[in-house]
This record gives sequence, structure tokens and C-alpha cells, in this order.
Amino acid sequence: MDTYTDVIIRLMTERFGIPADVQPDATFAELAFDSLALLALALAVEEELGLIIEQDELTTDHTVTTTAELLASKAEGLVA
Amino acid sequence: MHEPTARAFDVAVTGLGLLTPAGRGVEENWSRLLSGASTATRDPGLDGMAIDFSCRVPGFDPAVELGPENVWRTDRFVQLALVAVRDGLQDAGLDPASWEGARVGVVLGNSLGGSTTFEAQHEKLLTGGPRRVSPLLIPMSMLNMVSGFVAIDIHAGGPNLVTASACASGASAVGLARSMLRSGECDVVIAGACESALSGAVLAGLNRMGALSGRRNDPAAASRPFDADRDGFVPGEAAGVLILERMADARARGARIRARITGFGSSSDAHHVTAPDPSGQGVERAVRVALADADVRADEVDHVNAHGTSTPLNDATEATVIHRVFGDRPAVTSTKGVTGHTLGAAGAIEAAFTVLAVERGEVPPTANLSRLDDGVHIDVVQGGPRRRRVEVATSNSFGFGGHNAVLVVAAA
Repeated sequence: MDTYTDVIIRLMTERFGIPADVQPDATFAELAFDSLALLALALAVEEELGLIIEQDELTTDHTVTTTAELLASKAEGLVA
Repeated sequence: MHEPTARAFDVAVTGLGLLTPAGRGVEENWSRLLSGASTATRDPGLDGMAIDFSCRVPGFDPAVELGPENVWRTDRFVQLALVAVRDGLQDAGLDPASWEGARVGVVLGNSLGGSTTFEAQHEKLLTGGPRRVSPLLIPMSMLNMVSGFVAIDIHAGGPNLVTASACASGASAVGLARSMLRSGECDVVIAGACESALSGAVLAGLNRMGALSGRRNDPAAASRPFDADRDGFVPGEAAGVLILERMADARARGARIRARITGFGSSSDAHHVTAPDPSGQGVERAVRVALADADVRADEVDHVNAHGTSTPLNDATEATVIHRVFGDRPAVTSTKGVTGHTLGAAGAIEAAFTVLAVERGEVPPTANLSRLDDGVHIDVVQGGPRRRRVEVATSNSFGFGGHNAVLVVAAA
């Protein structure tokens, strides 16, 4: 099964034109992902996984890895 | 001996960027125009629509041109403009990497913005609710965004705006850009226009108001300006850019000067939202103001690039005004026979075509014109291109809302 990291990278590649070899620990700012792009990514994640990322939860200091951790904690919350 | 001083304040066209249904760049566009072959064709994107043919820019892949990381942020009307601007600067021999940009202005015309994006997002609102609407809806669909995106792309930090006078938008942009150079506000102005609004609601609306040709069984014959059997226009998309500088500056840097923009006139019909004033008084006013601005007499004009949409109303009124002002002296053409009507982009691409007619001494034929309307008493070029010296030419553009804009183009 795809990990959250895989899903985020796939969305970034397919929908936002980011190269597939993106470093999961690079910040979104380093990937030239601005705040609007992050909102678009959050919407794509919501459509794909049904997990809602609120506007203030994701900043350009985050990375793919920390975003995957955020999603994991949200999924856990749903299960619990 | 005052002429050199006067000319120093004239505005030079030093570069052209063209992405139209007739192709990319000066040579592709010009040879298609001279061939007189229409670009209108069946459009798979319009399946199921009452009018299912159009004039699209062929072979344009925004991911290749702009990089995949820029495509999802921009609507096609912006993508076309970005590439046309880059092409225009290259044609002018100007490199944005080498300028500081504070005195580089951008004035682009547009009329319908990102209507395709807007319609797709509206669908999401209806089916998925407000949370499904993209945060990029607004920056992707507002029409002013095109000049904003261009400024970012080429580091143009001078005055920056979009003109919106419907199908006169492109001519309005060139006219305004010229003023900004003559006032000294800018040293270079990127002037032009773009449109890509071949979306369902827009086309349905145009068709419902009776503006479009219904010639579904023969799209290539549908755009036929000034022809007795014309029945409406064929919608198209395009971007066209003119790089403008003061003559003195262009000369000082040794630029190739394709032609000069020497006059501009604009007016309003103040008559009806969509139908032209049948008296043509508003159009005539714009033409005469442009001629006066250029300090040329009507009998000095060799060529008119007509608005010539192929609608019954426009072409009849426009031909009457051209005859009233110029008689049958100028060689008149409507390049919309080939390109279709690219709406907000039309005034810019036709200004560029007029520049080329002046530069090359050649007037393209009006595609599909086989039987001149009985009411048309002007010299419309038909059958094939006409070689003739073109010292002074005008380009007409008129828009819904009663907007009239006329440019005067003269030899370098």
C-alpha cells in the first residue's frame, strides 16, 4: 500500500509538475511551493484521501515528510 | 527640417510575438495569411455544442513551453500570452535578464479571462460544495492576471495593466502603450492582447445572441468577411504582442524597426450594447481622430486592416464608414477570414499583421470572399495577396459595448 509520503509525492508530480525525484525532506519553500500552491495541494489530498488539512496547518516550512506525519496523526484520530 | 525631431517621439515596433490559429511567429502567420486558407475546423473540445468548430492555436503545448510546474497555476489565456511575450522580446533582440525593468511597462488586452477555469470550478462548486473550489480559481481567472504573470516572468516593474474593451481590447492596449512611451513614463512597453475563452457557456452565449456562423457542415468556409453569404463569426483564440520603444531609443540601440505606430483614435458608439450604430458615426470618429493624431490625410492611407468579423451587421457598417472616409483608395482586407475572430486578442494580432503589410509591401487576401456584398463599395483584396507599397495603414477594432479603436501604422 502507498504510504502518505508516496501519495503526496505522486500528487505533486502528477498535478503540480514537481519532478518525481523530489526530496521528501526539502521544505515546500525550497520546492518553490508557495502558500497558494499548498492550499491547492491540501485540496488534492482531501479529494484523494478524504483527510482534511486546515488552512493554518500547513506552511511553506513543512516538508513532504512532516505533511505525511500530519496525515498519519489525522488518520489515527479518525480511527481512535 | 523638423521631421527628425517629430519622428523621435514616434513609437517604433521592434518586435512581434504571434501565437494565432495561423501559427507561431511572423513567418508562419504571414504565409498562412497570404495563402488565404481559413483555419476554422471542427473542434473536438466543443462536442455536443450547437456550434462545434473554431480557430484554435495549433500544436501549443504549455508544459513544453513553460515547464510543467507553471502549467497548473495558469489558464490557457495566460499561457498563450507568456509565450507570445517571450517570442516578441526575442524578435526585438531584448533580453529581460539584462534589464532592471523599472521602466518596462506591460499593457495587454483581454476580454473574457479564464472562463474555462471559471466554468470548471463552478461545476466543482455545484457537485462538491465550496470546499472543492480551488484556491487558484481567482488568480487563474481574473483577466488582469495576464499582465501580472507577464511582469513576473520578464521582470517588468513599470506600469502594468489590462485593457478590457471587448474585441477592441488589443488595439486599446497598443494605443495606450504608445502614450506611455510618448509621455516618457516607460522606455519599453510590451503591448498586445490574448484570448482563450472557447468554453461551453461563452460559446453558448455568443451563439444565443446570434453572433456566430452556423456553417457546421463547412467550417472552412464559415468566416467570410464582406461576402454576400456571410452569417456570423468563427470564434478563435490567440495571443499577439508588439514590443514598442521610442524611435530614438530603438535607433540608438541599433534595433530593427519593423514599422511605426503613429496614431490612435478611440470612441464609443453610445448606441447599443452589442449592435453597431448603423450610422457608423462612432466608428468614423475613431478613424478621424486616429488620422489627425498621426497627422495624415485620408488620401494618404494605402491599406486598411478591417475589423471585418463576417457578421452581417459589422461588415456592412464598417464598409460604409471606410468608403465615406477613404473612398475606394486603400486596399482593404479582413484577416479574420483566415484566423477567425479571436475576440480580445484580435486588435493586437491585427495590429501586428498591419505592421507586416507595411514592412513587406503586401496585403493578404480576405479568405472565402467570393461574392462581395452588394452594399460594399470598397476595394477588398480577394483571390490572392496584392503587392503594393504601403506607407500608411490603419487597423480597425470594434467591440461589444460600442468600443471603437483605430491604430495608424506607418513605414519605418
